[in-house]
Amino acid sequence: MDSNRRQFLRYSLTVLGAAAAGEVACRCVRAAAASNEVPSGAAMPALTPDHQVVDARTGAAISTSPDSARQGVPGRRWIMVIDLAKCDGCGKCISACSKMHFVPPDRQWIKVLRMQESEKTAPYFFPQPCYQCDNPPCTKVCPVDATFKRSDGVVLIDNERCIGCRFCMAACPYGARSFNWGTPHDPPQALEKGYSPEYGYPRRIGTVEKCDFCPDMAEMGMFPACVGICPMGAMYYGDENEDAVTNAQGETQRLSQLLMDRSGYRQMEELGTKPRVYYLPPKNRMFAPPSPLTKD
Amino acid sequence: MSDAKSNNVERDMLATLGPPGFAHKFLVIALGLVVAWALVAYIHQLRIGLAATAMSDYFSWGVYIVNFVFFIGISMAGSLISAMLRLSNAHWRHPISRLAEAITVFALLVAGPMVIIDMGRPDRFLHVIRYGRLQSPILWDMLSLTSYLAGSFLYLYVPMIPDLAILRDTPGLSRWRQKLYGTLAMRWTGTPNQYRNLDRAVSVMAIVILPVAVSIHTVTAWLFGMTLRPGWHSTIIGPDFVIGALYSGVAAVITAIVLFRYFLRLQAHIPVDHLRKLAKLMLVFGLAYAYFVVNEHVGAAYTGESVERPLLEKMISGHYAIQFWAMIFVGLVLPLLMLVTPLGRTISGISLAALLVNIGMWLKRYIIVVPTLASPFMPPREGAHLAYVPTWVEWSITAGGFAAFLLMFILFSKVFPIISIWEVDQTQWPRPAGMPAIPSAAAAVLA
Amino acid sequence: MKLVLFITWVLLLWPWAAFAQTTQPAISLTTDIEDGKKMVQASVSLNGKPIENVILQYFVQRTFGNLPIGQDTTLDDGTSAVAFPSDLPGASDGKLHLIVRIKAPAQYSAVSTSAAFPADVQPAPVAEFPRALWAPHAPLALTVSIFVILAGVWLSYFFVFSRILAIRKGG
Repeated sequence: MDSNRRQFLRYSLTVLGAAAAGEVACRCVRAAAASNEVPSGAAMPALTPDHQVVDARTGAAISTSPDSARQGVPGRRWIMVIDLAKCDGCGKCISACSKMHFVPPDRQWIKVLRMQESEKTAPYFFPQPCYQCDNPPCTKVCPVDATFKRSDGVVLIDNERCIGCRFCMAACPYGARSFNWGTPHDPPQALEKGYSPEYGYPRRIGTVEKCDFCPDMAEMGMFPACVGICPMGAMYYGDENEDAVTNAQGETQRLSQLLMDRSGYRQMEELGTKPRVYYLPPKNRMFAPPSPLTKD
Repeated sequence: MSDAKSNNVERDMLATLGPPGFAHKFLVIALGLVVAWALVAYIHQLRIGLAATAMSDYFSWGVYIVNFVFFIGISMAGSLISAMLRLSNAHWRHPISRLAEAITVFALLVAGPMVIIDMGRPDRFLHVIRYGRLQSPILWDMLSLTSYLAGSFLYLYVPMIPDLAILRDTPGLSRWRQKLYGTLAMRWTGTPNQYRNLDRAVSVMAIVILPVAVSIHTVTAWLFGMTLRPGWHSTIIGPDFVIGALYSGVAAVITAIVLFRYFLRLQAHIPVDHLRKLAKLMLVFGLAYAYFVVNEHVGAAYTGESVERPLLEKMISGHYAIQFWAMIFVGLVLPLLMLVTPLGRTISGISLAALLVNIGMWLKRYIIVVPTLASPFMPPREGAHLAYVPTWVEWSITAGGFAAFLLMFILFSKVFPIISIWEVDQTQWPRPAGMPAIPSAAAAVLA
Repeated sequence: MKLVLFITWVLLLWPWAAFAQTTQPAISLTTDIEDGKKMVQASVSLNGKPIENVILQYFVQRTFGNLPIGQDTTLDDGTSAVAFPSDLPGASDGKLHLIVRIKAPAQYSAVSTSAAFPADVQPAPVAEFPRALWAPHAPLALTVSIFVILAGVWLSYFFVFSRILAIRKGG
């Protein structure tokens, strides 16, 4: 009697386990089908918890050499929309970006500025990454093609080639770039993988760096660090070719519709740089604006 | 020219090539020490990177670029004196054209390294040749600088050939001098054919060097003009730099002449009248440059345009007011006033004015580079450091640049005659019969 | 014994719970032309019977999230429809991957289905970078101008050099 019961219990638990596993497997398959497209190509890149890019099938590390980084992800045109009505200036985007790219504390790849155009206009918080311009003043002046524009819209820097002339820094009207004036002190985690212009570390002394729109993440359907962390959902990211942008809360909007409805604009459009970051004006904010800037 | 004087030129020039006196030795050692100290500073910078300077993400260019633009600026001297005055048949340029052309060569030889010193990765200098992009104004500057340097070398050397021949034929010189002059004299013996070739070569250089000189200042200006920044993105920045170069170039020539006249006792061969003529040129260029300075700023002052106004305020009454007004007074008002008074006819007055112009024009380059960097379009982020005070490394290398420039000049004057003997004393290599005394440029080329 | 039977009944039911989606409604997706407009039509049925008053949300799958394109309630024949997004560019395979999810009633709210349809619009083809100031290859006019100017200058230098050699030869 005992052994029969035991057998029966064992059988039931097995069936339960199989059912549970089956349920989990079904859910996973559905989730996978609903979210990312599997990128085409020989390898299936996946990101490990310690930010190593490996081939999902073999587990081998995939390195992006500086030369291969010049090829954009085919068929993509990355674009960002920042809703100034939602940005409360918390600065989590700065922390997330700095953490992901091991950015030293003396510089910021994405800045959150307090802006106020004139005395009577509204003050607001203004997240400013690199705009990856379509008519980039920086790539024009680079004497050695170290900073370059890719087909997927991203402007990257190859620090194996940069000669440190800093002409790009003089040319950028938005002040998006920083320079490695002294010996870089990258933490050990940053030295674990080979250099690639797609993420910008390990750093080299005497070279330039800036926000890169996290193209290695975007290629795998993952948000750039700043977009993915924004608790207000103020930052939207997407592929212009898909005419859709999504924020960290998963709200997906049609890009053209969003810009039309909310009167999107680009910063200093008159300069003709054609930025790839659009802003939505800070109207109908749900929280208090920053205090007005004192005249200095 | 009397025979007494003609003998004097050769004699006096040979004297300058003789054993070095105390002043020469002292200057060479002192300047050498300054250059050596600059090397120490540069090695320090190579070891810790550009963090040895006061430059930062906002002030991404500094004193090195100021020095670069300044030395490019005074390089106009040679083209002006040698080429412009030659083409306008101004004979009074003869004693000073070689000195002026030497200024050009040595200024360019300091300007080039100054840019390499400013690079974050000088070890990758060859990338510019290997991966160079023709769209970049830096490439234009490099191509122009090498062309101008090569042309200036040629233009310094070719008119010196007959002088080298004189020295080759002078007995009693040391062995290395004999070998040097013998090789470089190109077997000159003053035959009609040689004269014809010389005339052609010099005339072609005089014509070609002028657009090249204009190009070097224009593309240097376009390093700033092709950006979007206030103060730099100006339509007149090209001509501004050219006129500024003429102005500071003449001032450099005057300063050099005054110094060489004194130290090498060349008063007989470079009369005061030459200095007065150069002073007149300096006055004209100074007035033209003042016109440009007014044009630069009056637009922003009148319209109060949002990006230009903070920059102008910084210069007129803000953080950079001292440097700006010093530049105006020291570089423009004072020297030009001096030149229109009787003071402008005396040697001390002229040399002081020229020195003030040199100082003022260095300040002007500083005013061009730094205040614009202090006026970014976007407000600085919280905690950003917005000041630029050059470090000892930058000042040491600046001093080293000036010292190297002077040192090269002094050493040059010990090896080669600083005054062109054969052009001042035309009995040395008499022009063959039937050849026009000073052929016009066109005739020489077509002959 | 009752205890054993009860436990058996419970244990037998749990596996069924895991496969409970077979008792959930099924959604089928098609495209259709209604009044001259292209529509996406979804029909909801449970064990073959159409269900009315089910609120369905329609999405198009995009890289970072699902773009809502509409919401509709099923009629008595279990069908609902929204306009097909004819101006929305397709994915890299040229298709629009649609997802339809049940929003209400609550007991069905986990149910969804997806299907791919050819898109009416494709993203603009990515051209090779033209010659441009900001691109790797310079505009032809710039390259030619620089070459012509430099050639003119350096040819003059070579001429001068040839005159120097001529002087050397004795003129």
